[in-house]
Amino acid sequence: MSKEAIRESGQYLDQVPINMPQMCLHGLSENWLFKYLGAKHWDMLSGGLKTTSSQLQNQDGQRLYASFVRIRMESNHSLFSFQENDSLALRAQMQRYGNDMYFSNCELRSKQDASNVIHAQLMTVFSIRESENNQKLLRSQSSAEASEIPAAGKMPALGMEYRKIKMNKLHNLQLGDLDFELNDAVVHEREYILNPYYDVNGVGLIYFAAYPAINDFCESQYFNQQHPDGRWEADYSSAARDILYYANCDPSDVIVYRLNQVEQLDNGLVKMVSSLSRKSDGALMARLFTIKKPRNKS
Amino acid sequence: MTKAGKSALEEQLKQLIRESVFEDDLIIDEDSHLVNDLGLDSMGYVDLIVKIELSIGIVCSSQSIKSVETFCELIKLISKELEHE
Repeated sequence: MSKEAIRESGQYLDQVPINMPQMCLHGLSENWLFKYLGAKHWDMLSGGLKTTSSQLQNQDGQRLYASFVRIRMESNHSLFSFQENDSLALRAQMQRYGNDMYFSNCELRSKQDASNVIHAQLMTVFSIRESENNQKLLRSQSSAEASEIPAAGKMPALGMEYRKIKMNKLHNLQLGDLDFELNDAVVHEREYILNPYYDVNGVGLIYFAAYPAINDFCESQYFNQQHPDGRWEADYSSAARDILYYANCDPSDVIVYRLNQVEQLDNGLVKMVSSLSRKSDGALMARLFTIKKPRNKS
Repeated sequence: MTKAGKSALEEQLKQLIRESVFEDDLIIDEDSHLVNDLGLDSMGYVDLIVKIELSIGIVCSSQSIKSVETFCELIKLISKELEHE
């Protein structure tokens, strides 16, 4: 059982064991990891705003929803290196830019091997829904005072890069010491039918943590077709991921996965650029930048 | 506000907008539309609000800034806030 999180000198601390719910295939589940980090981000945010997530409202009394803008995760090994019965110590901090953008920096360290660390950065804004249509989420602001969350003097790089990429003023980013270029070429494309029991969150939106899972499912279909003698999902695990979120979609929509670039490096790492789009109108939902490591090198 | 003061404020606001949209050479005139002509998106508005607060010392609500459409209206809003200081 997770110990109750505590705050200490502006830091948010937690400890969580790695058991079956936290695992997938041969190591730590990235889907669980994203859900956990997302929940901790919202704990820090709602704590700083002195409210609960379901009570967050804008000045017109409309319910505010979490919109993840960008998540960046880097592990110095890979998620395969986190094993059953280990536990993770979380150390996290949050800052805001204005009253609209919230950034958390998280470190998760293995109890069994202190050199085994995951660093993650998360960025969120608030949205309102003006109808049941998930394609029409509008930006909004909280009515609560965020004074307990330290203010950043300038927009953190996580947000600055996101804006520059969205505005077509930046065409590459760094992840895990590798340089990634934005790429719209299509190496492989396939459709994904949403699984509402798994992909949709408690307020009817496609969960931010589902994006990499959908991506990886489609990616594994491609690699397993290319290499029928192996099992991609069991042989490779994420070492780093950067997701830029642009849109949500209705649960009845279909998602189009595109693998834009794939490169196998000499050290065995696989570097990929991919995207998810709505089939209904072609709108880009996310760009994903991924580094995967083979199990035997995790 | 004096003419010189207004002119200095205009230049300061132009610089803040240029920084918010990453365009050092952006040409801004009084009629420039903040979204359509200058490319300010929703995050750009947030950035501009914080920059105005930090460099001019005026705290604007998101709603008041977002109700402004042109550069001319932005100058009027900030000038009015400065007069209330």
